[in-house]
Amino acid sequence: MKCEFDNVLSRVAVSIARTLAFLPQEIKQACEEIRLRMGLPVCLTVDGRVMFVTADSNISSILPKNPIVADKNDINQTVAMLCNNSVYLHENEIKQGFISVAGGCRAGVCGSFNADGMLVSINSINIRIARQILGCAKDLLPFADSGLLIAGPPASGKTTLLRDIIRLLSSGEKGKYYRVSVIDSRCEISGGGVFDLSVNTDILYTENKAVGAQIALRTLSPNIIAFDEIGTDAELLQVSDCFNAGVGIITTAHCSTYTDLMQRKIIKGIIKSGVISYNALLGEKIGCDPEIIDVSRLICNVDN
Amino acid sequence: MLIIKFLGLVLVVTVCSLIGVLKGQAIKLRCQRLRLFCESLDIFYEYIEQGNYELDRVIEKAFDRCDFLNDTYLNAQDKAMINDFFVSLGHSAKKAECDRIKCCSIAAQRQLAKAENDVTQKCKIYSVFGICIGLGIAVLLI
Repeated sequence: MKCEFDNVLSRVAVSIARTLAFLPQEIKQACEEIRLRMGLPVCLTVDGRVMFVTADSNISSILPKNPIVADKNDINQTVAMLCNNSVYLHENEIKQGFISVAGGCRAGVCGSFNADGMLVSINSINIRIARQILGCAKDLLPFADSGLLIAGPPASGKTTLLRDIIRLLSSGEKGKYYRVSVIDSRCEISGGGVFDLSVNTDILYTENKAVGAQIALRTLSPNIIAFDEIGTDAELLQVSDCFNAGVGIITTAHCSTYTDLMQRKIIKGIIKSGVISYNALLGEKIGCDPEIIDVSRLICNVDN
Repeated sequence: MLIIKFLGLVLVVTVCSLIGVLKGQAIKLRCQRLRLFCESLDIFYEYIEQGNYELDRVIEKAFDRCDFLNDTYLNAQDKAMINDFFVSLGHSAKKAECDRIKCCSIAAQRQLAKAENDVTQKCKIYSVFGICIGLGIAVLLI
Protein backbone atom coordinates (compact mmCIF):
# COMPACT_ATOMS: atom_id res chain seq x y z
CA MET A 1 0.00 0.00 0.00
CA LYS A 2 1.38 3.39 -1.03
CA CYS A 3 1.95 5.92 1.74
CA GLU A 4 2.92 9.60 1.77
CA PHE A 5 6.61 8.59 1.71
CA ASP A 6 6.16 6.78 -1.62
CA ASN A 7 4.37 9.82 -3.06
CA VAL A 8 7.29 12.04 -2.06
CA LEU A 9 9.78 9.61 -3.64
CA SER A 10 8.40 10.51 -7.06
CA ARG A 11 9.99 13.95 -6.49
CA VAL A 12 13.42 12.68 -5.46
CA ALA A 13 16.35 11.96 -7.79
CA VAL A 14 15.93 8.55 -9.39
CA SER A 15 19.20 7.07 -8.11
CA ILE A 16 18.28 7.86 -4.49
CA ALA A 17 14.56 7.09 -4.82
CA ARG A 18 15.42 3.63 -6.14
CA THR A 19 17.16 2.77 -2.84
CA LEU A 20 14.61 4.48 -0.57
CA ALA A 21 11.75 2.65 -2.29
CA PHE A 22 12.93 -0.63 -0.74
CA LEU A 23 12.94 0.60 2.85
CA PRO A 24 10.71 -1.34 5.28
CA GLN A 25 7.09 -0.14 5.32
CA GLU A 26 7.19 0.76 9.04
CA ILE A 27 10.16 3.08 8.41
CA LYS A 28 8.36 4.74 5.50
CA GLN A 29 5.27 5.34 7.63
CA ALA A 30 7.28 6.79 10.52
CA CYS A 31 9.59 8.93 8.37
CA GLU A 32 9.12 12.67 8.88
CA GLU A 33 11.91 14.12 6.72
CA ILE A 34 14.26 13.21 3.89
CA ARG A 35 17.47 15.25 3.88
CA LEU A 36 19.78 15.47 0.89
CA ARG A 37 23.10 17.29 1.27
CA MET A 38 25.62 17.59 -1.56
CA GLY A 39 28.44 15.12 -1.11
CA LEU A 40 27.07 13.83 2.20
CA PRO A 41 25.06 10.75 3.25
CA VAL A 42 21.29 10.87 2.80
CA CYS A 43 19.55 11.23 6.20
CA LEU A 44 16.02 10.44 7.28
CA THR A 45 14.27 11.70 10.42
CA VAL A 46 12.31 8.77 11.81
CA ASP A 47 10.37 9.29 15.06
CA GLY A 48 12.52 12.31 15.78
CA ARG A 49 15.81 10.42 15.32
CA VAL A 50 18.37 10.87 12.56
CA MET A 51 18.88 7.72 10.48
CA PHE A 52 21.26 6.97 7.63
CA VAL A 53 20.43 4.83 4.62
CA THR A 54 22.78 2.17 3.30
CA ALA A 55 23.17 1.20 -0.35
CA ASP A 56 21.23 -2.02 0.30
CA SER A 57 18.17 -0.10 1.65
CA ASN A 58 18.81 -0.66 5.34
CA ILE A 59 18.76 2.11 7.88
CA SER A 60 21.21 2.77 10.66
CA SER A 61 21.31 5.21 13.54
CA ILE A 62 25.13 5.25 13.30
CA LEU A 63 26.94 6.42 10.15
CA PRO A 64 27.43 3.19 8.17
CA LYS A 65 30.37 2.25 5.94
CA ASN A 66 28.25 2.23 2.79
CA PRO A 67 25.72 5.07 3.04
CA ILE A 68 23.99 6.41 -0.06
CA VAL A 69 25.39 9.84 -0.84
CA ALA A 70 23.67 12.67 -2.70
CA ASP A 71 25.85 14.25 -5.39
CA LYS A 72 25.37 17.49 -7.35
CA ASN A 73 23.32 15.78 -10.06
CA ASP A 74 21.01 14.26 -7.46
CA ILE A 75 20.43 17.66 -5.84
CA ASN A 76 19.78 19.38 -9.18
CA GLN A 77 17.50 16.60 -10.37
CA THR A 78 15.55 16.65 -7.09
CA VAL A 79 15.07 20.43 -7.29
CA ALA A 80 13.84 20.10 -10.88
CA MET A 81 11.43 17.30 -9.90
CA LEU A 82 10.15 19.18 -6.85
CA CYS A 83 9.37 22.12 -9.13
CA ASN A 84 7.91 19.84 -11.83
CA ASN A 85 10.64 21.14 -14.16
CA SER A 86 9.26 24.65 -13.71
CA VAL A 87 11.70 26.41 -11.40
CA TYR A 88 10.53 29.76 -12.82
CA LEU A 89 7.09 29.18 -11.26
CA HIS A 90 8.59 28.64 -7.80
CA GLU A 91 10.95 31.62 -7.88
CA ASN A 92 9.27 33.52 -5.01
CA GLU A 93 9.23 30.43 -2.83
CA ILE A 94 12.87 29.60 -3.55
CA LYS A 95 13.85 33.16 -2.60
CA GLN A 96 12.29 32.41 0.80
CA GLY A 97 14.12 29.11 1.03
CA PHE A 98 11.41 26.56 0.34
CA ILE A 99 9.46 24.80 -2.41
CA SER A 100 5.83 23.77 -1.94
CA VAL A 101 5.14 20.31 -3.22
CA ALA A 102 1.71 19.01 -4.18
CA GLY A 103 0.30 16.99 -1.30
CA GLY A 104 1.18 19.48 1.42
CA CYS A 105 4.85 18.55 1.69
CA ARG A 106 7.40 21.31 1.85
CA ALA A 107 11.02 21.16 0.81
CA GLY A 108 13.40 23.54 2.52
CA VAL A 109 16.35 24.48 0.32
CA CYS A 110 19.60 26.26 1.03
CA GLY A 111 22.71 27.24 -0.89
CA SER A 112 24.15 30.46 -2.29
CA PHE A 113 22.11 33.51 -3.26
CA ASN A 114 22.71 35.96 -6.11
CA ALA A 115 22.26 39.75 -5.99
CA ASP A 116 18.52 39.40 -6.82
CA GLY A 117 17.98 37.18 -3.80
CA MET A 118 17.54 34.08 -5.93
CA LEU A 119 19.07 30.84 -4.74
CA VAL A 120 21.44 29.95 -7.56
CA SER A 121 23.31 26.98 -6.26
CA ILE A 122 21.33 24.67 -4.01
CA ASN A 123 23.43 22.32 -1.92
CA SER A 124 20.93 21.05 0.62
CA ILE A 125 17.28 19.96 0.53
CA ASN A 126 15.06 18.97 3.44
CA ILE A 127 11.77 17.41 2.33
CA ARG A 128 9.22 17.40 5.15
CA ILE A 129 6.55 14.75 4.72
CA ALA A 130 3.10 16.05 5.58
CA ARG A 131 0.54 13.69 7.07
CA GLN A 132 -3.04 13.90 8.17
CA ILE A 133 -3.81 12.12 11.44
CA LEU A 134 -7.57 12.15 11.92
CA GLY A 135 -8.66 12.73 15.49
CA CYS A 136 -5.25 13.79 16.86
CA ALA A 137 -6.61 17.19 17.96
CA LYS A 138 -9.71 15.91 19.81
CA ASP A 139 -8.22 16.94 23.18
CA LEU A 140 -7.86 20.51 21.93
CA LEU A 141 -11.49 20.80 20.82
CA PRO A 142 -12.87 22.25 24.10
CA PHE A 143 -10.36 25.12 23.88
CA ALA A 144 -10.44 25.76 20.13
CA ASP A 145 -13.06 28.46 19.74
CA SER A 146 -11.79 30.95 22.30
CA GLY A 147 -8.38 31.57 20.82
CA LEU A 148 -5.79 28.79 20.70
CA LEU A 149 -2.03 28.91 20.19
CA ILE A 150 -0.34 25.60 19.35
CA ALA A 151 3.34 25.92 20.23
CA GLY A 152 6.23 23.50 20.02
CA PRO A 153 9.71 22.84 18.67
CA PRO A 154 10.24 22.18 14.94
CA ALA A 155 8.75 18.92 13.63
CA SER A 156 6.66 18.40 16.78
CA GLY A 157 3.37 18.16 14.86
CA LYS A 158 1.97 21.70 15.15
CA THR A 159 0.65 21.83 11.59
CA THR A 160 -0.76 18.29 11.87
CA LEU A 161 -2.72 19.35 14.96
CA LEU A 162 -3.80 22.60 13.32
CA ARG A 163 -5.07 20.68 10.30
CA ASP A 164 -7.12 18.34 12.46
CA ILE A 165 -8.60 21.02 14.73
CA ILE A 166 -9.78 22.88 11.61
CA ARG A 167 -11.40 19.69 10.35
CA LEU A 168 -13.08 18.94 13.69
CA LEU A 169 -14.52 22.45 14.06
CA SER A 170 -15.70 22.56 10.45
CA SER A 171 -17.34 19.13 10.64
CA GLY A 172 -19.57 19.96 13.58
CA GLU A 173 -17.72 17.89 16.19
CA LYS A 174 -18.09 20.71 18.71
CA GLY A 175 -21.86 20.80 18.45
CA LYS A 176 -22.13 23.18 15.50
CA TYR A 177 -20.58 23.65 12.05
CA TYR A 178 -18.02 26.40 12.56
CA ARG A 179 -17.22 28.52 9.50
CA VAL A 180 -13.46 28.25 9.37
CA SER A 181 -11.27 30.42 7.14
CA VAL A 182 -7.77 29.08 6.64
CA ILE A 183 -4.94 31.31 5.49
CA ASP A 184 -2.64 28.79 3.86
CA SER A 185 0.55 30.65 2.94
CA ARG A 186 2.55 27.63 1.79
CA CYS A 187 -0.16 25.08 0.91
CA GLU A 188 0.96 23.09 3.94
CA ILE A 189 -2.29 23.11 5.85
CA SER A 190 -4.60 22.04 3.03
CA GLY A 191 -1.97 20.31 0.87
CA GLY A 192 -3.46 22.08 -2.12
CA GLY A 193 -6.74 20.28 -1.55
CA VAL A 194 -5.28 16.88 -0.68
CA PHE A 195 -6.10 16.96 3.05
CA ASP A 196 -9.61 16.77 4.40
CA LEU A 197 -10.51 20.05 6.10
CA SER A 198 -14.21 19.17 6.09
CA VAL A 199 -17.30 20.83 4.68
CA ASN A 200 -17.38 24.31 6.14
CA THR A 201 -13.83 25.48 5.49
CA ASP A 202 -12.69 28.25 3.13
CA ILE A 203 -9.04 28.31 2.13
CA LEU A 204 -7.16 31.45 1.10
CA TYR A 205 -3.82 30.77 -0.56
CA THR A 206 -1.81 33.89 0.15
CA GLU A 207 1.64 34.62 1.59
CA ASN A 208 0.37 37.76 3.26
CA LYS A 209 -1.56 36.67 6.35
CA ALA A 210 -2.59 40.23 7.15
CA VAL A 211 -4.27 40.61 3.75
CA GLY A 212 -5.74 37.12 4.00
CA ALA A 213 -7.26 37.88 7.40
CA GLN A 214 -8.80 41.11 6.05
CA ILE A 215 -10.33 39.33 3.06
CA ALA A 216 -11.69 36.54 5.24
CA LEU A 217 -13.21 38.99 7.69
CA ARG A 218 -14.87 41.11 4.99
CA THR A 219 -16.12 38.43 2.65
CA LEU A 220 -16.33 35.03 4.37
CA SER A 221 -17.96 35.87 7.75
CA PRO A 222 -15.85 33.31 9.61
CA ASN A 223 -16.31 32.05 13.15
CA ILE A 224 -12.64 31.01 13.24
CA ILE A 225 -9.56 32.13 11.31
CA ALA A 226 -6.68 29.66 11.31
CA PHE A 227 -3.12 30.04 10.03
CA ASP A 228 0.41 28.83 10.62
CA GLU A 229 2.64 31.25 12.58
CA ILE A 230 2.33 34.97 12.94
CA GLY A 231 5.61 36.58 11.91
CA THR A 232 5.15 40.36 11.72
CA ASP A 233 3.59 43.24 13.60
CA ALA A 234 1.21 43.85 10.67
CA GLU A 235 -0.08 40.29 10.97
CA LEU A 236 -0.47 40.74 14.73
CA LEU A 237 -2.49 43.90 14.17
CA GLN A 238 -4.78 42.16 11.67
CA VAL A 239 -5.24 39.23 14.01
CA SER A 240 -6.19 41.59 16.84
CA ASP A 241 -8.70 43.26 14.49
CA CYS A 242 -10.24 39.86 13.75
CA PHE A 243 -10.52 39.11 17.43
CA ASN A 244 -12.14 42.49 18.05
CA ALA A 245 -14.64 41.56 15.34
CA GLY A 246 -15.65 38.51 17.38
CA VAL A 247 -13.70 35.93 15.39
CA GLY A 248 -11.71 33.20 17.13
CA ILE A 249 -8.06 32.66 16.17
CA ILE A 250 -6.08 29.43 15.97
CA THR A 251 -2.40 29.68 15.12
CA THR A 252 0.97 28.08 15.78
CA ALA A 253 4.36 29.20 17.05
CA HIS A 254 7.86 27.77 17.37
CA CYS A 255 9.21 27.34 20.87
CA SER A 256 10.31 24.60 23.25
CA THR A 257 9.26 26.03 26.62
CA TYR A 258 6.87 28.66 27.91
CA THR A 259 9.82 30.87 28.77
CA ASP A 260 10.98 30.78 25.13
CA LEU A 261 7.44 31.52 24.03
CA MET A 262 7.07 34.62 26.15
CA GLN A 263 10.47 35.91 25.09
CA ARG A 264 9.22 36.31 21.53
CA LYS A 265 7.84 39.83 21.13
CA ILE A 266 5.12 38.90 18.62
CA ILE A 267 3.87 35.95 20.70
CA LYS A 268 3.93 37.99 23.89
CA GLY A 269 1.94 40.64 22.02
CA ILE A 270 -0.66 38.21 20.80
CA ILE A 271 -1.08 36.65 24.23
CA LYS A 272 -1.30 39.98 26.04
CA SER A 273 -3.81 41.34 23.50
CA GLY A 274 -6.32 38.72 24.66
CA VAL A 275 -6.66 37.15 21.22
CA ILE A 276 -5.43 33.82 22.59
CA SER A 277 -7.03 32.23 25.63
CA TYR A 278 -5.26 28.88 25.62
CA ASN A 279 -1.84 27.63 24.67
CA ALA A 280 -1.10 24.01 23.78
CA LEU A 281 2.61 23.25 24.21
CA LEU A 282 4.01 20.24 22.39
CA GLY A 283 7.07 18.24 23.37
CA GLU A 284 9.84 17.18 21.00
CA LYS A 285 8.54 13.65 20.57
CA ILE A 286 5.67 13.42 18.07
CA GLY A 287 2.54 11.83 19.45
CA CYS A 288 2.91 13.15 23.01
CA ASP A 289 -0.19 14.83 24.39
CA PRO A 290 0.13 18.61 24.38
CA GLU A 291 0.16 20.49 27.66
CA ILE A 292 -2.75 22.93 27.62
CA ILE A 293 -2.52 26.05 29.72
CA ASP A 294 -4.72 29.08 30.23
CA VAL A 295 -2.62 31.98 28.96
CA SER A 296 -3.64 34.27 31.82
CA ARG A 297 -1.33 32.10 33.93
CA LEU A 298 1.45 32.62 31.38
CA ILE A 299 1.05 36.40 31.59
CA CYS A 300 1.16 36.31 35.39
CA ASN A 301 4.28 34.17 35.36
CA VAL A 302 6.03 36.52 32.97
CA ASP A 303 5.02 39.67 34.79
CA ASN A 304 6.20 38.27 38.16
CA MET B 1 11.75 -1.72 -79.69
CA LEU B 2 11.84 2.01 -80.42
CA ILE B 3 8.80 2.56 -78.18
CA ILE B 4 10.50 0.75 -75.27
CA LYS B 5 13.64 2.82 -75.78
CA PHE B 6 11.56 6.02 -75.89
CA LEU B 7 9.73 5.04 -72.68
CA GLY B 8 13.07 4.29 -71.00
CA LEU B 9 14.44 7.71 -71.94
CA VAL B 10 11.29 9.42 -70.64
CA LEU B 11 11.67 7.45 -67.38
CA VAL B 12 15.30 8.52 -66.96
CA VAL B 13 14.48 12.20 -67.59
CA THR B 14 11.48 12.01 -65.22
CA VAL B 15 13.42 10.36 -62.41
CA CYS B 16 16.33 12.79 -62.63
CA SER B 17 13.95 15.78 -62.75
CA LEU B 18 12.02 14.39 -59.78
CA ILE B 19 15.22 14.02 -57.76
CA GLY B 20 16.08 17.63 -58.52
CA VAL B 21 12.61 18.85 -57.58
CA LEU B 22 12.58 16.82 -54.34
CA LYS B 23 15.97 18.19 -53.35
CA GLY B 24 14.62 21.71 -53.89
CA GLN B 25 11.48 20.79 -51.94
CA ALA B 26 13.62 19.56 -49.00
CA ILE B 27 15.32 22.93 -48.78
CA LYS B 28 11.93 24.68 -48.77
CA LEU B 29 10.59 22.36 -46.05
CA ARG B 30 13.64 22.98 -43.85
CA CYS B 31 13.01 26.70 -44.19
CA GLN B 32 9.32 26.23 -43.32
CA ARG B 33 10.12 24.16 -40.21
CA LEU B 34 12.68 26.66 -38.96
CA ARG B 35 10.15 29.47 -39.46
CA LEU B 36 7.53 27.55 -37.43
CA PHE B 37 10.10 26.89 -34.69
CA CYS B 38 10.96 30.60 -34.49
CA GLU B 39 7.27 31.53 -34.20
CA SER B 40 6.77 28.87 -31.53
CA LEU B 41 9.74 30.24 -29.58
CA ASP B 42 8.06 33.67 -29.49
CA ILE B 43 4.85 32.13 -28.13
CA PHE B 44 6.90 30.10 -25.62
CA TYR B 45 8.64 33.27 -24.43
CA GLU B 46 5.28 34.95 -23.77
CA TYR B 47 4.00 32.02 -21.71
CA ILE B 48 7.19 31.81 -19.65
CA GLU B 49 7.15 35.56 -19.02
CA GLN B 50 3.55 35.38 -17.80
CA GLY B 51 4.56 32.54 -15.47
CA ASN B 52 1.11 30.95 -15.19
CA TYR B 53 1.67 27.42 -16.42
CA GLU B 54 4.04 24.57 -15.75
CA LEU B 55 6.62 23.70 -18.34
CA ASP B 56 4.86 20.63 -19.80
CA ARG B 57 1.75 22.61 -20.52
CA VAL B 58 3.67 25.57 -21.96
CA ILE B 59 5.60 23.31 -24.33
CA GLU B 60 2.35 21.66 -25.43
CA LYS B 61 0.71 25.02 -26.11
CA ALA B 62 3.68 26.72 -27.79
CA PHE B 63 5.06 23.85 -29.86
CA ASP B 64 1.83 22.09 -30.87
CA ARG B 65 2.56 22.75 -34.55
CA CYS B 66 6.14 21.52 -34.26
CA ASP B 67 5.81 17.75 -34.51
CA PHE B 68 8.70 17.71 -36.96
CA LEU B 69 11.57 18.47 -34.61
CA ASN B 70 13.28 15.12 -35.22
CA ASP B 71 12.66 14.67 -38.93
CA THR B 72 15.20 14.50 -41.75
CA TYR B 73 14.57 17.93 -43.29
CA LEU B 74 16.38 19.68 -40.46
CA ASN B 75 20.16 19.41 -40.69
CA ALA B 76 22.55 18.39 -37.89
CA GLN B 77 23.18 21.99 -36.81
CA ASP B 78 19.44 22.72 -36.53
CA LYS B 79 18.87 19.58 -34.46
CA ALA B 80 21.82 20.35 -32.16
CA MET B 81 20.48 23.86 -31.53
CA ILE B 82 16.96 22.55 -30.77
CA ASN B 83 18.32 19.76 -28.56
CA ASP B 84 20.51 22.14 -26.53
CA PHE B 85 17.50 24.38 -26.01
CA PHE B 86 15.16 21.70 -24.69
CA VAL B 87 17.68 19.84 -22.56
CA SER B 88 18.13 22.51 -19.89
CA LEU B 89 14.62 23.99 -19.89
CA GLY B 90 12.82 24.61 -16.63
CA HIS B 91 15.89 24.66 -14.36
CA SER B 92 16.31 28.43 -14.06
CA ALA B 93 14.56 31.48 -12.66
CA LYS B 94 12.21 33.41 -14.97
CA LYS B 95 14.73 36.04 -16.09
CA ALA B 96 17.40 33.44 -16.91
CA GLU B 97 14.82 31.31 -18.71
CA CYS B 98 13.63 34.28 -20.80
CA ASP B 99 17.24 35.19 -21.64
CA ARG B 100 17.91 31.62 -22.81
CA ILE B 101 14.82 31.67 -25.01
CA LYS B 102 15.97 34.97 -26.56
CA CYS B 103 19.43 33.49 -27.25
CA CYS B 104 17.91 30.43 -28.88
CA SER B 105 15.59 32.67 -30.88
CA ILE B 106 18.57 34.64 -32.22
CA ALA B 107 20.35 31.39 -33.18
CA ALA B 108 17.19 30.05 -34.82
CA GLN B 109 16.70 33.30 -36.77
CA ARG B 110 20.27 32.99 -38.03
CA GLN B 111 19.62 29.43 -39.21
CA LEU B 112 16.36 30.57 -40.81
CA ALA B 113 18.15 33.38 -42.69
CA LYS B 114 20.64 30.84 -44.09
CA ALA B 115 17.79 28.48 -45.04
CA GLU B 116 15.90 31.28 -46.83
CA ASN B 117 19.09 32.13 -48.71
CA ASP B 118 19.39 28.49 -49.77
CA VAL B 119 15.79 28.53 -51.00
CA THR B 120 16.46 31.62 -53.15
CA GLN B 121 19.71 30.36 -54.58
CA LYS B 122 19.52 26.58 -54.71
CA CYS B 123 15.89 25.56 -55.23
CA LYS B 124 15.62 26.45 -58.89
CA ILE B 125 19.16 25.27 -59.58
CA TYR B 126 18.38 21.78 -58.28
CA SER B 127 15.21 21.54 -60.38
CA VAL B 128 16.95 22.71 -63.55
CA PHE B 129 19.99 20.54 -62.79
CA GLY B 130 17.77 17.52 -62.42
CA ILE B 131 16.14 18.09 -65.79
CA CYS B 132 19.49 18.77 -67.47
CA ILE B 133 21.13 15.65 -66.06
CA GLY B 134 18.11 13.61 -67.09
CA LEU B 135 18.29 14.98 -70.64
CA GLY B 136 22.07 14.45 -70.69
CA ILE B 137 21.74 10.80 -69.71
CA ALA B 138 18.95 10.40 -72.26
CA VAL B 139 21.16 11.82 -75.01
CA LEU B 140 24.02 9.49 -73.99
CA LEU B 141 21.72 6.50 -74.10
CA ILE B 142 20.47 7.43 -77.55
